[in-house]
Amino acid sequence: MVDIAERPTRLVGPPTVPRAAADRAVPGRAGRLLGIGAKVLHRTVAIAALAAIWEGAPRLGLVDRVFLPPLSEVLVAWWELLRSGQLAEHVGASLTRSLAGLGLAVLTAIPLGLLIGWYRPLAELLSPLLEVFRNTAALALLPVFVLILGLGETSKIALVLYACSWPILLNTIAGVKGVDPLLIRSARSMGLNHLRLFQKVILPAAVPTIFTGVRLAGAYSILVLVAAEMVGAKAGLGYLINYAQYNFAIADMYSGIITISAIGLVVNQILVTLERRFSTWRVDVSVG
Amino acid sequence: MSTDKILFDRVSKTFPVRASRRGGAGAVTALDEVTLGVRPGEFLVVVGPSGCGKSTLLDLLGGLTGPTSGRVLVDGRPVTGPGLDRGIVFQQYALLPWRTAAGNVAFGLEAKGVPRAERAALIEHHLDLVGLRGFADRYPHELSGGMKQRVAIARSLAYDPDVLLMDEPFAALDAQTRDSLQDELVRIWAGTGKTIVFITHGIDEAVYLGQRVAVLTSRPGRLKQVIDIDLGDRDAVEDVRSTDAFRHHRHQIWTLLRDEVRAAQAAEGTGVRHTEEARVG
Repeated sequence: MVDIAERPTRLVGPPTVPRAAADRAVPGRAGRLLGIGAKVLHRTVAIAALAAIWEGAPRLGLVDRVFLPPLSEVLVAWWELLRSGQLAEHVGASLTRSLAGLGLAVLTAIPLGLLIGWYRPLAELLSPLLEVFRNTAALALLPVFVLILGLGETSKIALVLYACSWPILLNTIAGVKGVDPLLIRSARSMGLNHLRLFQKVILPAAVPTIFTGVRLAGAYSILVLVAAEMVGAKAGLGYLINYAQYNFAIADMYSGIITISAIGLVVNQILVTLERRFSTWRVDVSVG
Repeated sequence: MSTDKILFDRVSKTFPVRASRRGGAGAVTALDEVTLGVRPGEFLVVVGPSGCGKSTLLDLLGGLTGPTSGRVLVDGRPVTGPGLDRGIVFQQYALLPWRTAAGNVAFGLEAKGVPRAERAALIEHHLDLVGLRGFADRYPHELSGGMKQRVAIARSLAYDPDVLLMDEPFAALDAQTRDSLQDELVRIWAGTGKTIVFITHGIDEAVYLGQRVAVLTSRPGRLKQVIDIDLGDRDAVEDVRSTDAFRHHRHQIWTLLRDEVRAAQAAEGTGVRHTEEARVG
C-alpha cells in the first residue's frame, strides 16, 4: 500500500525574515520541534508497545520464557550472530537468491506481459493457462521444483522466480490494457505506427501499474524464499530459523525472524520510493 | 467541385450492432448519403441532435474509420488513414499525463519527425499563440480544463495541419472559459488560415464560430441544410451575440433542430426529453 499521507517532512530553510520577526518566531520553532516529536512518538508508539509486551510478558511469567525469551535476550543473541559473521552469511545467501529470482522475474515477466497485453489473440490463447497457474500457490509447487531441479540453488531461485512472475505479469497485462483509449485514438490520429504508439504511449502509461507489480513481487520474493530455505538449504535466513529451532536455540530463531522482518521492511520501502518516483503524475491525477 | 478542401461525396456509414433486448442483431446507420463540401480556409460548424453521427463524420475525416459507401476527399484525394495534414482536437483533451505542456506539444512534432533542434522554438511559439506563455513546464493535472484544451489546440497547431478537426472541444468547459476560448479560436483561425471543421451541439457556439453551419438530421444522420452565417462586421459591435443578425441565425438553426430533436426523442424513448430540450433552448 502506498501511504500517500507519508511525505518527507520538509525542513524549513533559514529564516529570511527581519530580526525582530525572527525573535518572535522562536516559540514557533520550539512548537514545531514539539510537533515533530509528537509525530515521531505517534508513529512509533505501537512498535514500542509490542517491544514492551515482548520484554514484559516472559519476565512476568505470562508466557513460557523458554519458548518466548524476552526481547533483550533475543537482541543479545542477534548481536552475537552479527559479530560472529554468521548473520551476514545467512543474509547474503538469502538476498542473493531473492534478488536473483526477482531480477529474473522482472526481465522475463515484463516483456511477456507487454506482449500478452498488446496482442489480443495471445491473451485469449494464454489466459486459461494463466488462470490455472495464478491460482496455484507457489509453495505447493516447492516439492516439484525440488524433484526436478534438485535441492541446490537452482530450485530456490526458480521458486522465487515463479512466485515473483505472477504479480509482475498480471500487473503488466493490466497496465497495457488499462491505457486510456482516447490517448491511443489521439496518437493514432497523428499517424503513429504500432511500434511508436507502443513506445510513446502504451509503455509510459503502463509504467506505474507495472511498478506496483514489481513492488508486490519484492514482498513475495522474501516470503517464498524463507519457506524454500527451510527445505534442504545450508545457509540463508529460512535455514537459520529452522536450524535454530531444531537445536533449541530459541533466541537465535527469533533473531532470524526479526532480521527477515527488517529486510522485508527495507526492501518494501525502497520499492515504494521508486514506485512513487515513477508515478507522480498518476497519484496526482487520481486526486485531481 | 475540385475547389473544395474537403468533400464528403455521398458518404454512408453503418455500424453492426449485437443482438439487444429491444431487437435482433442488425446495423445502425450513423450517416446516410451525406454530401458536403468545405472550402479552403473555411470555418464550418456541424450541429445536430445527439447520436446523429456528428462524431462519425469527424472520425471519417480523421481517417480513424472508413465509410461504408461513398468517398471522403481531402484536396481531391481519398482519405485512407490518419495523417498529419489533419489535426484532431478532442473534447477530453487527450493529453499525455506524464508529459508537461511543452512535452505534449512536442508529441505531435515527434510524430511528424521535426528535428529536435527545431522543436523548442515551435513549442514556445504555439504555447504563446494559445496564451500559455510560462506554463510550458506544467503537467496536465496542474492545469485547468480550459488550459488543458489550450495545450491540446497548441499541440494540433504545432505540427501544422491544413485542417483542424474539433470534436465538441469546449463542451466540458464552464461558460466563461468557453466564451474566451471561442474568441481565441476565431483569432487563431483568422491568423493561421486553417480550414476548421468544428462539431458541437450548442447553437450559440455554432452561430458565433461558423462561417457556415451544417445541420444534420437525427438518426440516420443526413444533411438537413447548410446555413451561411452573416454577422456583419464582428469588430463593429461590442457584443455580437446580442445583435439581430445573431438572433436571426440562432432562431433559424433552432427551428431546424427542433424537429430533429423530437424525432430523436421518439426514437430513444421519452426519458431524455428534458436534457435534449435544454440543449436546444
